[in-house]
Amino acid sequence: MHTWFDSWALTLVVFIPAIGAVITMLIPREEESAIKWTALLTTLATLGVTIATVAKFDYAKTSTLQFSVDKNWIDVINSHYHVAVDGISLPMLALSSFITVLCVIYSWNHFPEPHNPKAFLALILVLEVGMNGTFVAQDLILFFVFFEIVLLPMFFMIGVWGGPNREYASIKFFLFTLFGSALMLLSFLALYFKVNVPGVGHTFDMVLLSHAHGAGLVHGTQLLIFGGLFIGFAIKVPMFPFHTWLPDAHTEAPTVGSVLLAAILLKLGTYGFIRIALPILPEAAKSWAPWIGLLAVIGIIYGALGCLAQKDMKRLIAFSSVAHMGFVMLGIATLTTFGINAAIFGMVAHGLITGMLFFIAGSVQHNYGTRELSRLGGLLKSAPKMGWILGFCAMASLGLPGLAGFWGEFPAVLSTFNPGGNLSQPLFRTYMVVAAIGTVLAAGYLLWMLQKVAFGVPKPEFADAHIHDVNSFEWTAWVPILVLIVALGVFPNLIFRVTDDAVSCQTAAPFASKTTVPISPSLKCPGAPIAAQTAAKVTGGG
Amino acid sequence: MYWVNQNIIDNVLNYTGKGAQAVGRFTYLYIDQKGVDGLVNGIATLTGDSGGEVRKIQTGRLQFYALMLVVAVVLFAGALWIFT
Repeated sequence: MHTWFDSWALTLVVFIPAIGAVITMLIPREEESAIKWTALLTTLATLGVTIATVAKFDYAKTSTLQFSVDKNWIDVINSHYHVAVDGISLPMLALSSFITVLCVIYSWNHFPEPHNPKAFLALILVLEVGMNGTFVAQDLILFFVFFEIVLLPMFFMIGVWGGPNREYASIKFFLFTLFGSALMLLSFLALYFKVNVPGVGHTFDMVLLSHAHGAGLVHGTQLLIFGGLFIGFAIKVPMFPFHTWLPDAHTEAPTVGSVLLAAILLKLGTYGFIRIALPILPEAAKSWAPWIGLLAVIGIIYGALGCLAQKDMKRLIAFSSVAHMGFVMLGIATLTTFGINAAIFGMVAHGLITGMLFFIAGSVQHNYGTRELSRLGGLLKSAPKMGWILGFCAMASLGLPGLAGFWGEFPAVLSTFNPGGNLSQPLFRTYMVVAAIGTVLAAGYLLWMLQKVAFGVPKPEFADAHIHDVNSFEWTAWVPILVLIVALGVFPNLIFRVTDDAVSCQTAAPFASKTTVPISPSLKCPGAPIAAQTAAKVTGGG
Repeated sequence: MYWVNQNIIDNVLNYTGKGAQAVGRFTYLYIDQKGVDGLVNGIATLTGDSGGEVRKIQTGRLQFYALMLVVAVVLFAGALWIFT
């Protein structure tokens, strides 16, 4: 039965933060607590609607787009206001609504200079509009609009509340990403003009385009269009060699900015690959996949080596993101159900764990006034609880079994053993070995960081300093993340169960071959053309 | 045997660790900061500088602008002629 909630849920999830942002802007600047409460209640309301969506979601049909709304938006280019969620978007949407609330709570007494909670919180809310919108959009123009909305608040957050080198970092972040977006938009336009969906004609609708599988495009054109999408998404992920904006942006960004950047914004890129690039242009994806895999494993090793050279805690965590997102991209590059499921799990796990590491880095900076590894030490002595949490997160990040990070990394590496889409097995097995070495390096740099920050005794300059341990705001913001890191580590099916069918039908179906890992044989992909249905069944048969 | 353990096997491990860190430092300083990031910043500088260079043709002399206009029309006409 189609209820009021079914047709309004996603619109509410996207636009409640926008309304909250407007209200926040209307409250006089002096009324700080009113501003904070408005922002908190707005994000809580958004989270509430998201939780209701998660609760009402039909888990028997995770591959079906649910809570769908499809209204004409810009008639002249046949662009629709089409929003919907399936098993791929749902975890990302939940992560985004969840982390935003915690960021507002953490900010409560932690506003960086030049303070101004009104503008800061309004920017977070605008950011949430863009993030949630990107994960529910099913129309390329709508997707692009939300994808771009995200840029502005982050630009201002880094540029105004950032560290000493904030102007350079914010402009670099903005221009770099915008360059990618421009190419991405070109590819969207090319898809609109070049793909002729039978019975529909030219369209920006992602669902229709992904059912058409690039019909009517010659291989060369597919490759070019995929190239544009690749640059746009690879910069956002970021993949080597498009990553250099990331360490600068992270180092300069305020704590909450770093958390949102790592937890959500990077995922917009990987989500783009899974949602748009692979399903819409599967033939091009097969040609590009070996190169994507290559850049992914370079990123894994390169990011890890970069970490070993860092002197700044935040910059180290930023480089570790390059390595971790390398695992996510490697999973995607295998073009298998297994690998892409691992990638989505990796996205959520990285969002929680690295987000948490950035929270701690922020609190360490707040306490010591520095993030320089050579000056830090003895956190376990001066603030034992924070030290333990840092140790816990370092373990989670290096992929300790039983914690969330493991289920992103290990299956991604495993999936490279048998890549889909007729990709070269020897090549991907080589990637597998390199990626496995990367996990050792990850353990190396994370333990090294833990040793520098937490072990030993505090340096003489901080021997008498009063270091606050975790305060109540930090507890409130952190405990939910820590609980989830354990919960997802122990019950990975909380995510895999949601994503599996959706990945099989939406993303991996065109690449199915005898070697891919079996999925449920009874799986029927909704709305997909016969070819994809049979492909899914072939995969099912194993 | 113990000597081999302490001096050979253990040192292989120690130097692997130290080596990884040295490779890391080299990769970061020379390949990442100077190479990859240098290229990114180079493109930015080039764009900025070329803006400065192109400004020089903004002379304010109308005859020059008219000439540029004619050149542009000829180029576009040529392109149209070739591609259609």
